[in-house]
Amino acid sequence: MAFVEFKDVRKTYQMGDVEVRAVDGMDFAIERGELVVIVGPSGAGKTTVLNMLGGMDSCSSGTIALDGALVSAMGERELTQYRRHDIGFVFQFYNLVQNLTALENVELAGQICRDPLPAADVLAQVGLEKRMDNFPAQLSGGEQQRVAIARALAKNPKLLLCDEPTGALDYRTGKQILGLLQDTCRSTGRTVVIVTHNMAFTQIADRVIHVREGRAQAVELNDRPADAAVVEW
Amino acid sequence: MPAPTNTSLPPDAPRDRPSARGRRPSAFWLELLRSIRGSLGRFLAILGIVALGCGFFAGLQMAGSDMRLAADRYYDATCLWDLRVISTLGLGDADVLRLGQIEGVTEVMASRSVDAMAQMGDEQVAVRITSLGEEDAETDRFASVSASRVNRLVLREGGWPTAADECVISADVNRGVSVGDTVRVLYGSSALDDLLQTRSYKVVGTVSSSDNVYTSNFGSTNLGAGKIDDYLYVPDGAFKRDAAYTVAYLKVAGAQDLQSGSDAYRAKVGSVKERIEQGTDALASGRREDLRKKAQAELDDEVATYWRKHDEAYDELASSKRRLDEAEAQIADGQAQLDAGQREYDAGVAELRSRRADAERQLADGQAQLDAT
Repeated sequence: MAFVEFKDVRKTYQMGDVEVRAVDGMDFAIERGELVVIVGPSGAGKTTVLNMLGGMDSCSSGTIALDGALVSAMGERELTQYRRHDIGFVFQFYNLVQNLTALENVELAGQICRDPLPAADVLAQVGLEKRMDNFPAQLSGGEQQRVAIARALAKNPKLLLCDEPTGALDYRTGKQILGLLQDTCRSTGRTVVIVTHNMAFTQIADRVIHVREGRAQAVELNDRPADAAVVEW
Repeated sequence: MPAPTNTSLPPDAPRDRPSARGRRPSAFWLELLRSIRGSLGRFLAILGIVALGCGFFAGLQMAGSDMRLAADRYYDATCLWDLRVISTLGLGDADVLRLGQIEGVTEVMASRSVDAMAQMGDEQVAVRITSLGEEDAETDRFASVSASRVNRLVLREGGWPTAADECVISADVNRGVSVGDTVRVLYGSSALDDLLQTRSYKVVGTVSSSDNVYTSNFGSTNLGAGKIDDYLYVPDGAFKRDAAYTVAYLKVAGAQDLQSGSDAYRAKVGSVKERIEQGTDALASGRREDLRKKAQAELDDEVATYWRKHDEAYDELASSKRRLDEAEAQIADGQAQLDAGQREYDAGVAELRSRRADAERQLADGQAQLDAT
């Protein structure tokens, strides 16, 4: 049994008479400790897949399994617990709490899950030990994204999901963030899933899933993933 | 920007636990507090608006029921009637007893009232004159400590009327008539002189009546403009002794505990009302019987008096006749005596004449003798 399994997952929206198929028979599997990149054009269903995997959205049919637990069959309460304890999410636009300092933002994550890492240490791990008492408004985009990653990491989750993490950042900062994610994956052995439309990211991944029109067109395994530092786009 | 460090955590590093009380409040409360402090004006404004809205809503919700409660309390405290019975033939004491025996009725109070046009201050208004119970005169403010008194009045100014020409008027209508003034009753739809002792009343006080709460319209009448403008309460003695009661007020058992106007109250009173309505024929014929009996009794009295007088008269006639006969007999006797006396007198006169003649002859003889010598 793979760590993450998607079996014939479908998600349809009913807009009046028209049926919109966001995800149309998605099939893939992910192993533990892999750095996975899901690429595809806009509207392919990548973010929907991530949301379903992260317990923020439900599928219309099919099964989603994480480490043996059937996510697609969970009820509201179970999904809340699942989101809190098993998933770390990094958003494209950071979604930090503006009224709390960087440290407090990361502590917030620690207050809702059962086995968190110490906030200050995680912040130091992402390289922000000098900026812990600044509010998000006082941080740059890259620093904010790092706080977001620290927040996700502090929860000590099984799975780290990143939805276009470098979308709002410039080239250099983006590379640094990518490097951070890769290091985290390698050093802590955590499974990291990155969703992006940037094909260059596929070079650093262990597994690449090409998504088109709601289904996984191709799944590639990469024996020699490159370092984020050397990747150019 | 410093490069991210590549160290992982040693396995025995201390884990964060959710913060204990007293060290630092949780992120949730921090966020809340800072959010409020950061936009305090806006927060207070929204708080104010919401509070205002809630206050209005609460007020609107409560206004109606508060008014109903207040009214109910007023009615309960003044023992306002639950049912009212009127009759085209009026009511009597026997009717009061009969009504009191109906199941569910706890109190019955009958009173007399009459509508009239009266001169109050500068205006002529239609008034309703109602009698008070005797008990009202005994208390200070609240009509009557007697438990059986229905429709108690609340005395506002002055005192209760005691004499038949005193009255109290409404305190809630401003007509320019105050304590000490006089109200003159002008005319009514029925013969007022049969009902009222006097036509002029001195105002000794003002009252509020829970039976007359609508100060703009105290009831309808067939006098004047068609509505009652004011009311007077007069002592029982102001009405003539034999005037019938015009209305009986009833109180229903258990109705006081229910809120007036509520469905439960209406149901309770309605069931007693139905019972009375079912018995109206009996009550009506009872009243008719009472009146008939009373009239009959009067008739019998009069007839008895007639016969008595009749007998007396004939007795007197007979005795007078007797006296007359006796007198006549006396007269006849007297006449006989008179005749006898007259004859005696005549005889006497005749004798006197004959004796005189004799005496004269003797005298003449004597004279002749004398002359002869």
